[in-house]
Amino acid sequence: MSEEAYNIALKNTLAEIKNVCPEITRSFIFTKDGTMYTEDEQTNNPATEKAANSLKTLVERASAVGGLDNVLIDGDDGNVYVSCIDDMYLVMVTSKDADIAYLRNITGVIFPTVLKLLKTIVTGPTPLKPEPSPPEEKLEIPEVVSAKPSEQPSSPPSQQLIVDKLGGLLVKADTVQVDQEILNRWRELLSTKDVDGVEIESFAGKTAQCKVKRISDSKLEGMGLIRIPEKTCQTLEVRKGELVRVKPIISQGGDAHADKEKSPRG
Amino acid sequence: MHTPTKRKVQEVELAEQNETPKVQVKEPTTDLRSRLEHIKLKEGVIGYILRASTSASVDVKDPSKIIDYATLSAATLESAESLSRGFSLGKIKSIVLEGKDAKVLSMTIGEQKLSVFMEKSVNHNLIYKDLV
Repeated sequence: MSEEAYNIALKNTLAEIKNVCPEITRSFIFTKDGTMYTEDEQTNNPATEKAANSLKTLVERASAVGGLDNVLIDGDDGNVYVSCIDDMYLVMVTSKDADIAYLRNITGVIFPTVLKLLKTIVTGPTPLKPEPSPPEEKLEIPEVVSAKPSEQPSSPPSQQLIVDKLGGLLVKADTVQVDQEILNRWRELLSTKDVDGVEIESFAGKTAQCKVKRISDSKLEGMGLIRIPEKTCQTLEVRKGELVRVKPIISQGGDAHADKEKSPRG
Repeated sequence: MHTPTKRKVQEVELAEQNETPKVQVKEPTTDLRSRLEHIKLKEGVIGYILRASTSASVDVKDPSKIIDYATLSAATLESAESLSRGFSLGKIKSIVLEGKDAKVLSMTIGEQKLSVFMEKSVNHNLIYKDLV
């Protein structure tokens, strides 16, 4: 993965966090040496660079307390929350009404996961080249995919989506809804006609496999949502607004669940 | 003959000028110091650094860490002021910096800059309430 792609991935993550916490007015990331790594669209401001330089000094001085973990600056008109993840420092400027505890939880889960994921991708072969996938990714490929390895990309594309609860009398408990655009992209990437199953993984490590359909409510399209029935939400231990990782399951017989039950060798 | 008289007047005036701010600051400082003495005795509190424009009070359990703590205290408050100016945060109420081993609560009280160092298990909100 190129540096640019890495930047875009982090930028998108900042945007996603902002979607979940609209009280964030500005956010950016800087590394230990004070250089700006990535920034969101609203951060093209000289104040950001000054802030990064100032925080760099603070990071150096924080060795007195074992190295900086996080900082919260509480002002009359707004807050700044700085969180350290690996060698990166995520800075979020929020309005004074922001729920900092919620923000802490969100960033504490999302960023380490994204960085870990990006590192795995960076250290492994680039997914755009038709080379064999790294062994750990092979393990995650559903059994059905491994049946025709030569016709598939190196690994199923995983997507981070925001949970939206799906309720109602006619809702099937085993079916989730995602954007048509995502389904189309998966079909294209996997060169398949049907993607009728997905594997959902929460950041707590809980997984579930469900059938998948396009989002029925057109107002909710294009928002990066996955609409999950309430019962499945309980199984995954996720709530509305949380992020989950979603991977398509390719069905050869047409039913993802039936495929899952088949033995890979049988 | 006139010169010594004039000098005496000037001295008195200077003395008055010097005394006025002392009287104004003395009570809150004494009150704050007594509160800090009380806070210092709490379990997990490592110490504090209180800086005024011309003086500083330092009470830290491990004297070898005084310089490190003092530079961290100064950097925390300066950084917060810089960020407040840049991002229009308004008046800073408090800064909580958590390290891997300890944390520090910093704030400005009047003209004085205070940093209280404590173990991570200490509830800094209670310390803040005690101080404000």
